[in-house]
Amino acid sequence: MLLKTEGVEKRFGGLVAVKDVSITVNKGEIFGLIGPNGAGKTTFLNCISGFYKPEKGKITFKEQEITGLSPTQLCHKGIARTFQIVRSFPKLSALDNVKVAVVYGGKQHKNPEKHAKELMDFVGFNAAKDVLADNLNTMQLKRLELARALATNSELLLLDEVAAGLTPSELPDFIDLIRRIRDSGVTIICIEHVMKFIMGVCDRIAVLNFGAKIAEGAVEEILNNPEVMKAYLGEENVH
Amino acid sequence: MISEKSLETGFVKNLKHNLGNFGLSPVAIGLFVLLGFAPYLIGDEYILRLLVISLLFGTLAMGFDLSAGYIDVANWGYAGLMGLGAYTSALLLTNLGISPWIGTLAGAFMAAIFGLLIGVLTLKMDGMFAAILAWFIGLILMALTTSLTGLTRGALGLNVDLYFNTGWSKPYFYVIFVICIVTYIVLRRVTNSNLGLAFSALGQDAEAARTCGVDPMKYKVINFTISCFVAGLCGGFYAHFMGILTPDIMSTKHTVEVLVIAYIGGRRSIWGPLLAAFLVVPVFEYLNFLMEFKYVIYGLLLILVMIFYPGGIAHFYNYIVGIFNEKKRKLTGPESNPFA
Repeated sequence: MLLKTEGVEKRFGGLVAVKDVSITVNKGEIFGLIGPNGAGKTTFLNCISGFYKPEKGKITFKEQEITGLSPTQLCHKGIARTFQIVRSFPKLSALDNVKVAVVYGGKQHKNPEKHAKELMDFVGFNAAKDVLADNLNTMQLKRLELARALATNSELLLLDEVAAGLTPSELPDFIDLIRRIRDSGVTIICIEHVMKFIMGVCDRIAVLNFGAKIAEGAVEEILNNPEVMKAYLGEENVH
Repeated sequence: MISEKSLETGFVKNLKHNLGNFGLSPVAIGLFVLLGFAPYLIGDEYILRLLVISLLFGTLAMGFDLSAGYIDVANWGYAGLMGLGAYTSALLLTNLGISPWIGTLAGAFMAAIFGLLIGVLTLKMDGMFAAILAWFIGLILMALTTSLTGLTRGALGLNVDLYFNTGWSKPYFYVIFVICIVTYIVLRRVTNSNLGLAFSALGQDAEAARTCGVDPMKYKVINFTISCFVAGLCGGFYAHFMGILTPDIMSTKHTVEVLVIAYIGGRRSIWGPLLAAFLVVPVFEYLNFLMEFKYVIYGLLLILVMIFYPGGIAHFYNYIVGIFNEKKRKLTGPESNPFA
């Protein structure tokens, strides 16, 4: 068990965005988080990554309580994330974008530049490394963001809709990359809408609806769950 | 067999690299050397004085650029901190007889300590709020200086002894020249280092920077403190160069002067603001007959720059360099093409 949440609750005023969510993520698995729009997936991820402080509940990472720690502290503990809308440092070169994470990610490297370059090659970043992030396209930015997240020596990677916006032809390549990241020893939690992606990579998934977890288990089992069908698959446009 | 020529280019390359570590390019060194001889080349005292003021404002603008350009916090209390440095040095000299050289440094440290406190107080907030709070603190400093008449003589003005026994600009030129070069090298070094990387990351996307493990408070406060140190240092020089201090030097319009120079020069470059000072200061010196209307022009200029060319001179330069690099890339083939 790498990460465990127990009864996490997050409110915005009167609105309960995440309600009593408990999940357990094992080391080395790819854990999917699905649910209709507005189900509270990103909010839940923000609670784990320290951007929101949950009102109730407890989050444990490697047997250590991490509830309420800041993103910086969590980064040093080994939790990295990507954002739903890709974030980069637009006026820094692609290489420097990754180098920031190598330098400040919590582990000393003799040659940060070299390590950053290796990671960029690992994620298949194909543009010139000295180009400003401003000039990159979405696909390149997504790979850059992945390289940056890995650069912090993370053991747990939180991915918020990495596959969104990719063309069908780019998808297999990307699925392969996510698998390779897992094989390198990183546990992954991903929020996703793209069914092909979920079926392709996830070992287990949890389903959120209106802030509450309605199911958790192996992919096939979940997709045949009548409650999930009702809440999600019956109404949403499934790819 | 290695030919003599390739050895030489190797040496030149090495030298260039080492200089680059200090943020100095051959062009920058050339200009600094030329500037160093200026007092011997320029006989006119008025123009020399103008150069001193340009250097002063250039140095101020470089310090301002460190926080405005890198962590995206425009320090609206900048003139207040400069005034703090000036008054610290002046009062140490008049009341305790401490040498103006030590006083100038003391003023700089005083401003840095204040910068640290303001930073801790304000930098938890986003750029805009931090800027406004820093501005208020600048105003408070000015009001204090005006009202503590027993200490500062308030609006009557405080007479300060000069560094030297002469009013001629030449020795002062070399003082500010050294301050300017040291500031330039230190700031360029800092911004090219890992510290600069953290500053840039925080300024461009604070949330992403946090997920990269950059502690936002720590690095913002370090940045702000260095920037305020430069303001205090320049303030000390101002005191012992002008010979008289009034609370007016802390007023917001002087922050705006520095801000206009920094923005015209181009944020996030350090050298841009320094260069811009030599263009902007003389022009505005000639506009002195307009009195306070001068500041209307400053304001208008700022608005125009922000709307039509927010990148300033430095951005224009990078743009030109970018075009050349692109041409080179095309010549060397598609392998190094960024969009391949």
